[in-house]
Amino acid sequence: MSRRTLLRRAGLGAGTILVAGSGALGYRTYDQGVLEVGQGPAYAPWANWQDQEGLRALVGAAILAPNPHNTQPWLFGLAPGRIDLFADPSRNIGAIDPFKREKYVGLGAALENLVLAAQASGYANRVTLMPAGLHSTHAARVELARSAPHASDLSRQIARRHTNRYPYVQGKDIPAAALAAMAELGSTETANARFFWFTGGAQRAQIGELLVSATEAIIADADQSRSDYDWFRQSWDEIQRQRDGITVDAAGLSDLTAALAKLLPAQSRTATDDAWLDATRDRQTKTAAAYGILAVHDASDNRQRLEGGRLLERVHLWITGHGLALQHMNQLSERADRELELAITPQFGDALRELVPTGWQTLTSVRIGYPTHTPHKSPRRPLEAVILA
Amino acid sequence: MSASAHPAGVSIRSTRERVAVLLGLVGATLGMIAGLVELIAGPSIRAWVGDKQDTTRLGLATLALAALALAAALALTHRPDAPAPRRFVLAAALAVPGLVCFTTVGRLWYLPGTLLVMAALLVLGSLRRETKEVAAAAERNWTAILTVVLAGFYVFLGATALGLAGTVGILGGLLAIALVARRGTLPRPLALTLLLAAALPFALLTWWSVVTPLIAVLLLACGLPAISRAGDVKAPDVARVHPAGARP
Repeated sequence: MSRRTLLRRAGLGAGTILVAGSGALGYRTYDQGVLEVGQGPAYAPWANWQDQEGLRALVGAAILAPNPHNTQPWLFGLAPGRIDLFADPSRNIGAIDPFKREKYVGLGAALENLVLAAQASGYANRVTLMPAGLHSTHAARVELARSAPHASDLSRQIARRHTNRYPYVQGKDIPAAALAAMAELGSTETANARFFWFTGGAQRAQIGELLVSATEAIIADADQSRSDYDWFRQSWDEIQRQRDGITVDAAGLSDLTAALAKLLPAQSRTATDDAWLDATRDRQTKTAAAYGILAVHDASDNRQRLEGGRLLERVHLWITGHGLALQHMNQLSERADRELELAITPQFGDALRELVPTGWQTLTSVRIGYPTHTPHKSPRRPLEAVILA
Repeated sequence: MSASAHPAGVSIRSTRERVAVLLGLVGATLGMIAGLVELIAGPSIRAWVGDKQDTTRLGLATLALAALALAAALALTHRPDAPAPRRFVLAAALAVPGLVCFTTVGRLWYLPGTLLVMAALLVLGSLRRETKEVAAAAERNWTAILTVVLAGFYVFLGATALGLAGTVGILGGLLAIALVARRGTLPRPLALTLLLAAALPFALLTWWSVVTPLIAVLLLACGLPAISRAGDVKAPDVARVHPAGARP
């Protein structure tokens, strides 16, 4: 064999190996849905919720609400002229939410979407919270009667609303008029809930540091870390099958980082924790234009939690409609509840008490700002999985 | 001997090749039916379609791959005296859909996939005495083969991407395949321009995916030498290589 032939064959062999490698990478790209962000049945409810018939369309709107770790902890009972909302006892985030505070806030957000969609679809409604008692799983009963349709500005944002975990525009403050407008979003239905906004540099720095410390504390708590990781979905097939949980696409990563995260083998719990801490410290708290703390008079009262959830969703929808971004950041209250559960020094419980006026208790906190990226959708379970037979 | 050209021009085909053609035709037809069933009834028979959630795209992909196999089987039917390199390509066109769909489709593919793989193996078996001819042709055309494989990856990834990027990917892949098929017949600057047009847009639109820029670079690296020289997959007819009746 001549030297030239040898070199040619070596070149062809190397090329073949590279092509085979790109084929393997291409298959991984397909298998992990790298080019299919926001596609597939897991994301279909965002596009087709209005195609549903009758009361199912209202449930279709409800399931698009924000909820803790995307557990979608809801069930719906449909009857003529009535929808019942239940907490799904099987869907919890364990040590992250030991007293189910976030769960009922999420249910409140779903209830708000349902009510807004009902008005838009021509249903007058009467809502009864916790109709079977404060400790029941029966969260709400919504009685519906035909009326003139009224699509509000908020209802138009239901399918556009997504939690935005990207960095926000730095140095661009939230106008006072926006904060005032959001203060007007409360009503008699949310009388026990209120948002407290923190816009000053020192306040933001203080809350930012607290959020980073709370994230570190959650990561250091093996039970909380495991409970968090249990809802992290890293396989595309798992996302399309289970249609819940936290995904790489919704994590607020750059497109390149998200693609690499999906192409590489699944991350360990430790690596996921580290990535979360980095995002909280280096991108999210650094670029918050303001923090909001949602408080009620009694954060252990499921009725008030539902009211808080309704107000939270109104604020999120308003923010979406006005070109702003919002991220739910529950680390402080998650840690405060955990301290209470373990009966340890209430470091974060005390810090939260100092942040809100006397007579108020924190339900959850958010950061808001001007978006740098359009957020991706989170998966949603189909109506068949959440409507009781 | 697999097939021979009769002095009067009538092909005499071996039993092995007749069976291969029959299996290929039946397998590809059943594959088309499987694709249609996935499209129409996929959500109701998930256990039979690999538990795939998106049965519409699965059905379309199955139809496309089964159509490729059907085209190969028909080509074998109409050109039993095709040169060995061409029959090797046709065997690959039967085997690739058969094997790829085994990895994605599920139970619905078991029968058509088995038939297609058996057909491919029979065709390959008929080439045993022409191994050297096939190997020599493969070596001469290796960059063209790699280019077609890479273009196939583009079509496949384009089909998963949907939207504008997906369309661009599919068109880019098909254009690259067409360029290889027409290599040596187009002016070099035009061929080069078309190759760039095939490789770059999809990679630019999805640069963050890592894989499409990599494929684009390889597509250019393999495609440039491939389109610069005339190919010989369309090798001279056996009759010209071996005078009538003299083929071994």
